[in-house]
Amino acid sequence: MGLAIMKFELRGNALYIKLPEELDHVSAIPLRKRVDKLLSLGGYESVVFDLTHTTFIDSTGIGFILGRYKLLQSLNKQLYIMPPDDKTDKVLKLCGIYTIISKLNEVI
Amino acid sequence: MDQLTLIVKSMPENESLVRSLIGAYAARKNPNIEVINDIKTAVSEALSNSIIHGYSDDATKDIHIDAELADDALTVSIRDFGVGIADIKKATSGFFTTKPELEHSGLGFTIMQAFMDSVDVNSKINEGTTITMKKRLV
Ligand SMILES: Nc1ncnc2c1ncn2[C@@H]1O[C@H](COP(=O)(O)OP(=O)(O)OP(=O)(O)O)[C@@H](O)[C@H]1O
Ligand SMILES: [Mg+2]
Repeated sequence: MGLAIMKFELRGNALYIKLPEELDHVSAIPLRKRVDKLLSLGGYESVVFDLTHTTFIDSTGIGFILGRYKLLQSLNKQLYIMPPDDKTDKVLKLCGIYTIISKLNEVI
Repeated sequence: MDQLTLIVKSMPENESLVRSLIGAYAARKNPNIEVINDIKTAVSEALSNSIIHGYSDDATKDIHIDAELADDALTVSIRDFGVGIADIKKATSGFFTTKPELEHSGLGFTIMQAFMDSVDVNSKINEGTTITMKKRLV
């Protein structure tokens, strides 16, 4: 697994996954495979997407988050988001991400 | 007139290049960083749509980008010569996508419209699509 692209860490029952600086059309597609493989291994109760280092998100990035949310729902697991900076968070807010996924306001 | 024209191949790798360049171009007028970020996001959405939908990921095709700074506003247009959009009204309404299987959620136009002051869509089947967007910078 490419640690340069994806960093993850199990803290208690929560699987923290650090998402890349640019969660876009280019990065989201390979990341999808890696993350889904990791999620299929189990051993966690909830997942946290850490976007605190992310400075760019496009609709493909939103599609990535929504896709993993649906997958985790089918596995009966919770998904949380650590939001990016305000200008980047605008996209998540606009797309209504926080109406379905809760924020987690603590840093890894 | 202060204008810029670019022609790039239909490759996803060009998305970050083009959005950064247009962002840097707009930065000449010293807008705040949020305005630049909005522009970068909207440009990226239009460009990825040309690549994914217009050209179905055929990297040999060309995309034309024209930008202009005038009256403290940026006008940018992204043009492909691909399949075109059958029903523009439908395509630009939120959550409409013709590629749901690839995890597209139909949010690209919603983002462009929210982040720019105006978004104009011109499209003809089998001729292509031009997205023209405007944003005030100061
Ligand atoms: N350049 C284009 N050429 C042909 N069709 C297009 C073009 N741009 C958009 N479309 C059509 O408009 C629809 C809506 O575009 P939009 O960007 O809003 O959503 P999407 O690209 O399908 O999904 P998302 O952007 O959320 O990944 C697309 O599914 C496609 O059918
Ligand atoms: Mg799109």
